[in-house]
This record gives sequence, structure tokens and C-alpha cells, in this order.
Amino acid sequence: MKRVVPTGKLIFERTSFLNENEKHLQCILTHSFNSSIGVFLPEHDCVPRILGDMMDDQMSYYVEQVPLNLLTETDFIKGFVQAGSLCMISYGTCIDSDDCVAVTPEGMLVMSLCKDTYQRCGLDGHLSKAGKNIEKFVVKVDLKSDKFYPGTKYYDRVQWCLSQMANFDFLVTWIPNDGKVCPSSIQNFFKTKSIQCNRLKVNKTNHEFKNFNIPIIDPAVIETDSEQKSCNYDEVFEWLGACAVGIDDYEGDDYLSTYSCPTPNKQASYCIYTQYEGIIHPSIVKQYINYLRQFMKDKKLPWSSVTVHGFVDSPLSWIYDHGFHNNGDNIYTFLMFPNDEYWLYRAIGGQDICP
Amino acid sequence: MELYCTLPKSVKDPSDQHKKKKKGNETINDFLTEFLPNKRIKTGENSLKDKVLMLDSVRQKWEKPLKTKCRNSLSAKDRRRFKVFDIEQGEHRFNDYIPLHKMWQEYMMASLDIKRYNLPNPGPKKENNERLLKADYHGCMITVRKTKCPSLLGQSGIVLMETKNTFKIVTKDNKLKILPKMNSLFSFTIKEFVFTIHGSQFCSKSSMRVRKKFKFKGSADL
Amino acid sequence: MYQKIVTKGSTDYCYLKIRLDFGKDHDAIIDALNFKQLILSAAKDVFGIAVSCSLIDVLRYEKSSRTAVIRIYHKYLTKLWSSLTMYGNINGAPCAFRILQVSSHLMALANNSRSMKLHMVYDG
Repeated sequence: MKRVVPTGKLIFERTSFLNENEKHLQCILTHSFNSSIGVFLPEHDCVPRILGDMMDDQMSYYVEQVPLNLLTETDFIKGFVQAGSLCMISYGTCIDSDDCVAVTPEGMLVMSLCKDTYQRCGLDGHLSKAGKNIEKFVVKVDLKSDKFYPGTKYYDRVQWCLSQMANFDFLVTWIPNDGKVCPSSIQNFFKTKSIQCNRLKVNKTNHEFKNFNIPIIDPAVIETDSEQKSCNYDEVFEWLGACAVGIDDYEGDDYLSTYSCPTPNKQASYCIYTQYEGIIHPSIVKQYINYLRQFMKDKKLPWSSVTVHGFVDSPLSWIYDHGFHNNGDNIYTFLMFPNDEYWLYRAIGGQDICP
Repeated sequence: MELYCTLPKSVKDPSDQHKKKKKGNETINDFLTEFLPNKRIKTGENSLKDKVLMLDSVRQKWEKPLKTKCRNSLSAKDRRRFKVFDIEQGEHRFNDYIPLHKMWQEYMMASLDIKRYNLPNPGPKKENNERLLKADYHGCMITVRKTKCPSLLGQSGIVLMETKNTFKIVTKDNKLKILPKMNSLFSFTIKEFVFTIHGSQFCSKSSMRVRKKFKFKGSADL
Repeated sequence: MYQKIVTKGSTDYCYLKIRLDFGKDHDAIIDALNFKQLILSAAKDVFGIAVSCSLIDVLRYEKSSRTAVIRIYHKYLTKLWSSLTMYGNINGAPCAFRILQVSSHLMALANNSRSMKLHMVYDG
């Protein structure tokens, strides 16, 4: 039997928010490029307003035709890269066929280039490790480095090489370190350089469920065999995905779909799934999750879940090279319980490296 | 051994002792003692009975024939010894070679017949490629446009020497750089036209290029 | 307290998001049952009854855009995908199945950043 290439990998972790290592922070903050965040609340009919406001207040922009050497200029680095947390990702470029450029909050300019562009670029890089036989090269430039300033050979070389490359469209979000500075100063900066920069609105989608079966989940029990008092972790993840997609209720009609809620389950009168799409900064995700933990305890919900989808075309998934085989998943889901325990699912594509 | 000299006098002279009749062996012994070299007699080899002395078709010691050097060029060994083709670092100025570059440009324009490019019917391009292949590039202002080695990209200068696998150039800041031809793409401009050379296909000495027929080596990918 | 399980092998199921497109002049309203029938006939035409009798669940179907999310066994992914690609016409009307997303995680189909539409706020 021929070995089948996996189309996806799933990493499941079960631990607590109060754990010393704080792995949840590591997961949230190193996942830099988030394209959507979705929350599922069982036994509740609406998402708290504060969370909606948090999303709407976020400043994110769409910038067109940025020349890459602008990102290495001193006033850009001092004003934005070092003075805050900047997230930029190129828009409209596919990771498996085009060149993709991104700037991480740690100040690293990451470019995933095709063979032809890499040979014309002149900067040193390595072959992408996301999958075998992929001819893409990853070039990284540390913008926050002490040695990266005008006058050095390396800086001049980087400037010259980037000026030879084409312009890209970017999705940008920036959070300044200093609370007094307004995030819209980045929009003003681009406007002074006569580059088109428009503010983005976050898209919102809702799926409401009434008289819906929800699985019974026990945080201590992951896999059950015979006496099923709670559901398996993989069934729960599939079911959460089904709610996120907005599954139709075909219970009883076997022809169309044989899928049903995993057993054991109970009925809930209301459930809601809300999803926000755009470019979302990782620190906002952190605030969101912290607020939701408190909300869950206040409203005495049995559990709640937050799912964050990463950009399919981002050059990095967590800290490793990202590729697109037949999907470019880099998703994580927190399934949180009132006793501060959580289940963390991380779903990645078949060729990517496990974080 | 002298075969063609005159007979010795004692033979011609009738009053010679040897002509007197003696006993057979005595005549021969006397003859030999008179005419053999002294060395042979001194060693006490009086009886030459068992000795074999080759008198006919004696093999001469073979001497190597003198090699007549018909080559007009120096061998690689001599080249290294005399350091004829070494270019010293730091001793060449870019500005000194600009007249060479201008001369080369005129040569190239004439050889490629650039005037006809601007005409509506430029003519067949195959002919053009052959001329480019057989041309001499000493004095050409060459730039690396695409390469597998990122540090080589962007290097440009006037070609001082072309070897089988490299171009030796002098850059604008008077530095001597050696650019390997393999895995690189070079370009040069004449007036407003840009010409590209695929280095991997071009690896041969400039003198050999004139005679060699070029075969397309696989793909134009580096 | 801390537990970690990594699944690297092929997962059991595979999920596809597909859309049925018609030619320029043709348009038809297709409901969920018809859609499932079309998928089965496409599979049967190319690969026979074996593939069409395997698990094909239509988890969600949108009539207006003719988009569906389906669940199949992982081992039949290439077969079903190719049979959907080859399906050319319905009763003479030219049509095509567009595969929008493929994943072994159903959660991934909730969002597609490639087809994300940007809603911009234009300042004066």
C-alpha cells in the first residue's frame, strides 16, 4: 500500500493557564499573522459588546505599492519597528507561486522568494523547509539589529538589493509602545511618502444555533473507550469546526449527511459563533482571550472556545517556514474551561514543521 | 673503427718482419700484440681464445633526437614560471581602462552592425548571436545580473582578462575582481541595447570560442 | 498535568469546499439533494460505484451561491477531486465544479484568507 502524504497535522495540548511556563502566551504571541478570530459560546445568545468594540477599534490598514527599501529606512525603523509592534504581510501573493514579504512584531523582515527572484536579489537566504522539493528561498533581515544602520556595508547592500525588487501591497497593523501615540500615525507616514493607505474594517459573520446539541466535555478526560461519559478530543475539534462552518441540521436524514454531534451530548437552547476577519494583531488576541476567560466564569458557561486562523499565504507559521501544498492551514483553537484549564489544538498543513 | 684508411706500411713493405714465414699462431700473436691497444695486453689477457669481439654490425649507443620546438606559444608550466598573465592587485586604475572600453564599444558596434537595429527590418538574429559568440570581450563593461551566489550579484567592471572559467574585471573603486562564469548571467550595454550572456554556456577560452560550435546545454536555468 | 498528543499521519476524514458553476447563459436552481446526486454521478462516471458508495457527507449547502462543504474519507480524496474536475455537463448545460478549499481539518474551511474581501474606509 502506497504511503499517503498527510494533508494535515494536529497537535493537541492539555494544560492550564496558571502553569508557570505560560505556553499559551508563547503560542499566541509568536503566531504573528492572524486573518480571523472566532468565538463559540454555548448556552449563550450573544457575544459581549466589549469584544465587538475591541475588534472595531483596532487600526489596520491596506497600503498599496510599497517599495521594499522604504521598510529599511531609518525613520521607518525608529518610528515604527522599534517604537511599537508592527505586523505587515503582503496581500494578493500566493505562497506557493509568488514572492511573499512580511514583517514580524519582533522586527524581522521575512521574504519568501521564488528561485528567479532570489537569484536576482543578491541577499543571502536558505531553501524553505516547508515540504520537500519546494524551490522557494527564505531571506530574513533583522531590522532591529544593532548592526543595521546607514553607513555599514550590510545596510547599503540590503538597501541596494531591495531597491531592485518590485513593489508590494501590504496589510498593516501597528500598536505603539507609548500609549499616547495614536496608531494612525502609520497612515500619515505612508501618506507623506505619497503611498495610498486606507483603513480597513473588520468583517463579521454570525452563526446562531437554537435547540442545538452540544457535546459534554470533561477537561480531565481526553480519550474515552467504553464508558463514554465525555467526548474524545478529536471529535470535539471536528464538531467545533462544523459549528464554525455553519453546519446545516440534517439530523435524521442519512442521505445527505451522516454526521452528527459526538455523544454523549446535551441540548442547549442557544449557542452562538461569531467570526471577525481582517488582520488582527497578536496582542489583541491575547486581550480577547483574557477577557473571555473572565466572562466565561461570570456567566458560568460550561466551556468556551476561541479559534484563530492564520494567513494561508504567510511566509511563517509560528516560527517555522510555511508552505502551501493543498492547504495552508495554521490555525489554533483554545477550548477553555472555568477552572483555568484549557485544551489547545494546533492544526497545520501536511508539509509544515510541527511547532 | 676505421675501415677506410690506407694500409699500414708494414704490410706494404716487403722487408717487414711479419712477412717472414713463421708458425701460424706466432704470426697472429705478433700481429695482435702490435696492433691491439695496450690496455688489453696489460690486463694479462694474452690468450684471446675465448673472447668474442664483434666486428660487424655493432650497436651504437642510442642518443635521444633533439626536440625541435615547433610551438609558438608558451606552455602552462612556462606561463606560471614567467608570470606573464598574472594581473596584480591594486595596480590597476579603472580610469586607465576607459579608453580601452571605448575602443571595444566601437569594435562591437561595427561587428554587430548596430545601426541596422533601428531600421524597420533588423535582419536575422541568428547571425547576431554567432557574432556575439565569436567576439572578444576584453574591455567590455560587464555586470552580473543573476547568479546562484548572492554576493556576486551587482558586481560590474571592465574585463581585463578572460580565461576558460572566469572574467577578471577592474571595478569602479579600482579593485580587481574575479567573476566565475558558471551559474551566472552577465549583461552589457551598447548604446541603448542590453545584451545578456549565459555564463554557464560560455565556459571556454576566448581563442577557442572562434572555432567551437556551440551546443545548447540543457536549460537556460542557472 | 501537561499532556501533548501529535497526530502526524493521515487523518481519517478530509473536507472540501466546492462550488458548482454554470456557463454564461445557463443558470439553474439546485437544492441540496440534487447537489449530492450530482456529486455521486460524477464519482460514478469516472471511478465506478466503489467511490460513489463511499462516505460523502454534505455538511452545509448554500442554495444561492451553490457552495457546499463536504466530508469524505481521506483515501478517496484524489479520486473524488479528479472526478469532480472531469464533470462537464448536466443535461447538456455546461458546468464545472470549482474546488475552493481542501483540508483535513474542518475548522480550516471557516475562513479563507485568499478570498478575503477588503472593506476599506475611505477618508476624505
